[in-house]
Amino acid sequence: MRRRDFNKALLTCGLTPCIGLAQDSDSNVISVDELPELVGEISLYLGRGEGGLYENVLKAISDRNPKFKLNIRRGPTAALANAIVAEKEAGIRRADVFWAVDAGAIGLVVDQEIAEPLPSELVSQLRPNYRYRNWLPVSGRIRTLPFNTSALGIEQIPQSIMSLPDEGFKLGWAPEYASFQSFITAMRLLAGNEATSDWLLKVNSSAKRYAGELGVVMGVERGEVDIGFANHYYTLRLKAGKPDAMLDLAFTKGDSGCLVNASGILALTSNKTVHNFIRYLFTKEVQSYLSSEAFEIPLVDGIALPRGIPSLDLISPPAIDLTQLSDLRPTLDLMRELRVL
Amino acid sequence: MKLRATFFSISTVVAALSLLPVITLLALAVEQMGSVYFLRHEIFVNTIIVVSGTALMASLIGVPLAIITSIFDLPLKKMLLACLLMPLAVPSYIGAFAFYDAFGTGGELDRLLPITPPSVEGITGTIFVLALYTYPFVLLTTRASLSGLDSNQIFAARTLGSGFFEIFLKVIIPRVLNAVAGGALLVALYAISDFGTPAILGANTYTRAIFVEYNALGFSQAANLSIQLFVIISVFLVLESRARVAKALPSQFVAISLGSVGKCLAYLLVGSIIFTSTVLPVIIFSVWLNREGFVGVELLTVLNSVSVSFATAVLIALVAIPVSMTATRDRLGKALEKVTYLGFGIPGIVMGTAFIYVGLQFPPIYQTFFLLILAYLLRFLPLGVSSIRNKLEAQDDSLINAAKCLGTPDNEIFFRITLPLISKAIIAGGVLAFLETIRELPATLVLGPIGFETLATYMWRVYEGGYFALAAVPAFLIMGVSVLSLVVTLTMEDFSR
Repeated sequence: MRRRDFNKALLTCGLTPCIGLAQDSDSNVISVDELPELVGEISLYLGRGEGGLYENVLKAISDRNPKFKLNIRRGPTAALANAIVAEKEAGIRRADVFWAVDAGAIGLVVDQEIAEPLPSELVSQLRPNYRYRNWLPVSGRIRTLPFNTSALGIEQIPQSIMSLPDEGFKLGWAPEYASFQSFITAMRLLAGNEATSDWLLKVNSSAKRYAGELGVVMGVERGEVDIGFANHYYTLRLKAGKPDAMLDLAFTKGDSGCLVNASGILALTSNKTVHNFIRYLFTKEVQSYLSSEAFEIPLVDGIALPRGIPSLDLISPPAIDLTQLSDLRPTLDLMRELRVL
Repeated sequence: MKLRATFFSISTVVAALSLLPVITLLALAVEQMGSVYFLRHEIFVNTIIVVSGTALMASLIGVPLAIITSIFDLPLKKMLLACLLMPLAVPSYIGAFAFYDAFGTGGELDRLLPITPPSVEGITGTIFVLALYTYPFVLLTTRASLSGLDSNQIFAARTLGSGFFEIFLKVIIPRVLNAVAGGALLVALYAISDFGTPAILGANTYTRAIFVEYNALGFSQAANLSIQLFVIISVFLVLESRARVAKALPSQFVAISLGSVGKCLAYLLVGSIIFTSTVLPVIIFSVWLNREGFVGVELLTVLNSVSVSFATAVLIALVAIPVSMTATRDRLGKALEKVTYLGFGIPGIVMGTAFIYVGLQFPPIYQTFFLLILAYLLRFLPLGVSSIRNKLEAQDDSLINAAKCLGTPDNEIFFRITLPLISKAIIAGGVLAFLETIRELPATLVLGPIGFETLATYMWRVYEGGYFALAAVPAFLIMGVSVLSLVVTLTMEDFSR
């Protein structure tokens, strides 16, 4: 396992080297140079799980703006979303901005009607089917089945997520990870509670448990398990560090197994600093960085897809509104009831 | 008179505060009686397996080491003992970190060595790592009781024709049994409260389950699990207080000389334990450090860790004085002191969850240093109190009585006689509190104000991100501070003797 190579990519790549990677297309993506200097102080709740890559973006923004102070509270995305809701009920507001690794957690907060509407020109930068009123998807990620290529061929993997547990493969998962929980929410909405609970029970009885989905992918690569459940970028990142890894991606068809989810940002305070800070995340520099270094799918028009991901046309994600993924509580209750959590 | 009243009121306030987390948990659990939450068998069973497995394995390591370092006549014995106590300076989550990443297929050792070592994870991994860092408890208690062993008993047995093993079974074992049990119970208490090790190695015990519930802000569920855990801990605490050993000085100390084979075996055992628990993690962290360089940790993180621990240590030293003074005065004071010991039995993750809830009820203190330091104070105050109270109890009253005869007022007696006499114990208690605070993980993780990062929470973030190698610098810093503080406490104790 080349954890070292992840670290290298993390530590050496700031924002600057990536500027040249932006697509030359004549889109209206703005550059950091066009943004006003940030002045003031912001509290950000940052959903953990992306290693140091989001941290690098934030550090680069802070470095560029010496008069700007960013206070960060880090925690698992679901915990922070819950904390924001609990704080609201207690009459406390600590966070100005919430950057979640998962749209479900965003939805949980949006449902409380405490997210501030965002300037329309910010919203219109996004690809048309990713435009919402009071939150912005920052980058996309696809649910995938990373598999060990020395253990099985892609043709052996079923195209239906629901039938996967019946095939007798050794499976690896990270049920505590927010993106996984959103995937289960999608499964509940698409296949119903009963089928989902059967599926969870089957997987739970045999699957190997990991702390996070990077761990899942590493477990697949080590051959500890045949197939895992993970967001696409973990596999791409691992393969970027270790091109000969016995690892590849499989996609299911039209079900929750290939859900396209998004990390997202919302504002709990409405002011110029907050809006300009959010603007930074949608510049071509940051979006290209997230695509080329984090292997995330840029959702701003005119930025290239990461290497190694099949064109979005070849993937058939389920038809589901991302904000519906906020229906997280029943998912957690179900997982708890089945002793998965 | 006035001083005494002030001390008494401080003791009362601290004792009342110590009840706060327990009351909060009870209130939270009762709040949702509608959905009665049954015992989660899997978590209960896992916890019991981890705790008893750790206690057993720590005893299997600690008892032979205690015998080797006490009744056998070995060159360099003092130094060996010092090395064997080193794991006390390493929080077990740091060991868990190193073992988790270095062992198993694709781990650090797999790359360095021609063979693939087995992976260290899950329940067995947790037991293994916890035992490696807790055996000194058993070693110390057992050694203390062996040092009271009279060699005349052994000579008598020999005269009656007993061989070594018979002596071992009939003379030595019965003598140390109580002490081993006492040490094993300390191990059990550590194992049951520890959060980092089972969380990193993926053993689903109470502390980990409480953290998962907290993350989903399932306060009632977290409170429910916390109370179950607290009940189990109370049982252990009661057992532990019963396992105290009566001490008698021997008329003749035991010193058995070993043949060269015996010596080799003894050194081999001692060496392999020191290697696995201390040297191996240091090697692994050095490999990482060498590869990555001094990266990752910001100076601010180090300053945060040091300043918050220092503030806590000073506060604990100051509060421990009135609590222990009151405790040695009368029965009520003694009872108040006992109440302040509650916090020591409450695991950090439980304390953290309870205080987040308290903060939400009183917004001005939510996510503030006030709550964080209060949590530290309640958790670690007993370290300061027991250090000072032991000194006070061992103190000769004649000086104070003489002063009283001369008509010295109470305040002056305290400042001119008592305080100078207990000053070293105060510092020793403060140093211990500093040591515990700087490596505290779960309460800091949950209660730290926004933007506040310590060495311990940084390590946790690195773990969650999967970038293990970045943990080398904070790991070395925490170990370094721990060793330093231990040396200071040990020297202080020597001076005060």
